[in-house]
Amino acid sequence: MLGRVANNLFWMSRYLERAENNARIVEAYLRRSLAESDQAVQNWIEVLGVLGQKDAYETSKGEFEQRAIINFILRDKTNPISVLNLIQQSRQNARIVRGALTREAWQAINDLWLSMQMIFKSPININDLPLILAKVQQGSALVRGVLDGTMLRNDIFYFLRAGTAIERGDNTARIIHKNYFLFLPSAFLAREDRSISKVEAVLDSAGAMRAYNWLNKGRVDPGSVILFLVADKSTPRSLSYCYQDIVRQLTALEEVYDTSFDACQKAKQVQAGLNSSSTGGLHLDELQNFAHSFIQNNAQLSDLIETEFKFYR
Amino acid sequence: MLHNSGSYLSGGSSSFDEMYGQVAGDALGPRAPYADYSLWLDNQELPRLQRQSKRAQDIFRSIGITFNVYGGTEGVERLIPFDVIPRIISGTEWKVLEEGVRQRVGALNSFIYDIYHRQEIIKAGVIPASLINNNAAFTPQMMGFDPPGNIYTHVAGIDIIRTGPNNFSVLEDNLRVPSGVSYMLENRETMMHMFPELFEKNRVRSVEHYPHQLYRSLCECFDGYTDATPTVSLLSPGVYNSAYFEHAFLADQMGVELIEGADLVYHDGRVAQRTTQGPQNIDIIYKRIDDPFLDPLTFKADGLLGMPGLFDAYRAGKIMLANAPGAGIADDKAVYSFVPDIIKFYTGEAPKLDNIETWRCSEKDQLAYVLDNLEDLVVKEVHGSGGYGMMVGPTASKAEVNRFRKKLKARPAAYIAQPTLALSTVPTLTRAGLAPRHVDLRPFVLVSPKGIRVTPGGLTRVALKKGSLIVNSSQGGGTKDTWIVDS
Repeated sequence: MLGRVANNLFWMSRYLERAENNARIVEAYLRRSLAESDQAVQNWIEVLGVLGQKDAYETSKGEFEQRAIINFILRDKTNPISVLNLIQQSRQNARIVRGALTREAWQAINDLWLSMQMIFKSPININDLPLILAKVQQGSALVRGVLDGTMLRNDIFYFLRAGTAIERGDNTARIIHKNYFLFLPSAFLAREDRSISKVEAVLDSAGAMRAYNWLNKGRVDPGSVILFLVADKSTPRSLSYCYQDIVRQLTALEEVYDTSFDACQKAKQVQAGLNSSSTGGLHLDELQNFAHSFIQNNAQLSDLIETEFKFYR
Repeated sequence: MLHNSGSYLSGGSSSFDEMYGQVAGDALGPRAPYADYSLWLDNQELPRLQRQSKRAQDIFRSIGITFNVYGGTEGVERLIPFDVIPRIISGTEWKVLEEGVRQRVGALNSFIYDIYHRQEIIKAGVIPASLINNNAAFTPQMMGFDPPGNIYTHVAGIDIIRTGPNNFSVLEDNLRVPSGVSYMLENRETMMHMFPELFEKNRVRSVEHYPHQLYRSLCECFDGYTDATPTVSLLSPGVYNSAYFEHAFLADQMGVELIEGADLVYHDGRVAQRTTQGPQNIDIIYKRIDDPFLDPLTFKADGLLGMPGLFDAYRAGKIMLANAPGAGIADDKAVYSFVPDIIKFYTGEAPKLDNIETWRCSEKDQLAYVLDNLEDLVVKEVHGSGGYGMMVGPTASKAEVNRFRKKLKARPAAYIAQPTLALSTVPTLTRAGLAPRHVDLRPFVLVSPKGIRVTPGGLTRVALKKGSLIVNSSQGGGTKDTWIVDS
């Protein structure tokens, strides 16, 4: 496989996963802002923060305003990481390597792009937001499902999957990082309903609310929530699960290419660190540092994959 | 129901209609190749056809069968309109076409070989030396070089027009980078998807094996050069090229890498592509970039689409290029007028397919005729293409005719002239119903030392504007599925 093609596959997955994750975060905060209408603008500013788009928004739009924020995050053409632009970039990467994808997979991503172009043609009415956000997530899930159901298990598939897992790990870690204060032991003491709802929003943004509730019978306890998001081996949104997946893809690449890669070693190290956190290695007062260093390690792994597999543009 | 003969809108021309014969709407009924299809068509409601037509466009958009538009905003992708009424040719009619095309392409390949070797045809006085020496497509770097299998025109597209029941003629040969084959394949795929019942009733010859045949045909040229299965790659200018869809489609269907110039490196004295595991040697490049951009060291200095030194590697036998550089010497408009003589010279046979009568303005008496009859003729620039540098006498203004008269007198050798022809029509779906629209046909031909393969049918292009003779997609042309049916 060409290094250029591997690069396009990896980033096709990353951009698509990011679009889906961003839509999910917006959805979680939308639900919350409907419940707490007095806090609406404050909630939307928080979304910008979680998505890392607060500075860009201020530079570009100035005043914080709900409608403007939503449009900036979802469809602003000048915002390089608006959901529309992320889908556009994912589709452009796919178009460059469409021969590496099955017809069904290409059509799924192309159809998603075509429908997003229609949906995001005009400014978003907040009443349509739930439907639009669902469509983004469904479209992304469809692409992932079609890839899973139609693609050969070879290096093409492994690069796609590695991209998804790295992006998803990054997303979950960023949500934890931005909300670390909710989980500080001192915050437990001052806990009241609102902070519980914030903890729930964290789970919701990470797409892990139902899974958590099912496993914990609805008992929301900050310590268990963090352990769940970091170290649970069964939820596909946890850091531990993402690394299980990454290690699996990189090991498969080692087999295909019949050689060993530093990237695989690195991924195994990160995975071991995550596993030890479930056995008392993670202190809640260290959470911010923990999340920060995970994000850095994850980014280093991504870079290592790019060099070791000779990616280029 | 569509009572076809009654509702068929007259084109107001005297062109031959391939479905209904000489005059649109007469009472003779459909011609034989269309007999079964027209029974089906009689039972169709216009709105259903129009719905299916809309669906076809949606399918094309979803699959991404688009061409990029130059000059507009980056990334603008357009659809080529697809007409759901097929163009049908009988197996018997096709046999004549196929044999003619095979003979022609074989002769042109021999001609190119001769031009780049001993030039016997010039010595024999069949064509003037000036035809080659003054030709921009002549590539002196190819002199004395034997390409693998002695093949130059691995892929050819021959543009054919029809003017009557038994009158087919060649309008143009495309021997450099002929395109459109992906539309031929996708048109069929779409028709089978939308109207499966039609393919049960009609025995339509299959086109789907083209990509596999292309792959095989390329490899056959390389036989004896390597023991292993050769590595083939398709070289494209990239995602912003207008034919990018076709490049990606063919690479995918052939199971080969789609590469760009930036993917190529030298490795152990060979041409290689940069893979995730390091450089991988390539044996055959199916190039979809024009010769001048192939290699800045040999051709155009600012060519960035190929690779410096690629041509030297080719001459050293380290890699095969298809089509061969310099193949364009056989497809310009000045050479075209000599093709019947070229066929006779290399095959000893009379041409099986006619050329269109062509006046070479380089010759005094022919120029005189052209100047006397400018209002009735089509004048073309010898090296022009895509409808540029062209004048259509019957529709040109007086001023334009006069401008061309001056041009012809100043540089007669730069022009040829042809009669204005009544291209055949095929019923085409319009808003108001079925109407005759002019068509041409581009069959695709694969050449290897093992033989010349012609895919049954080819790409039918249709001028969607009433009365228009211009089928180019850049000027409002569309495409149709082309059926070769055996009764």
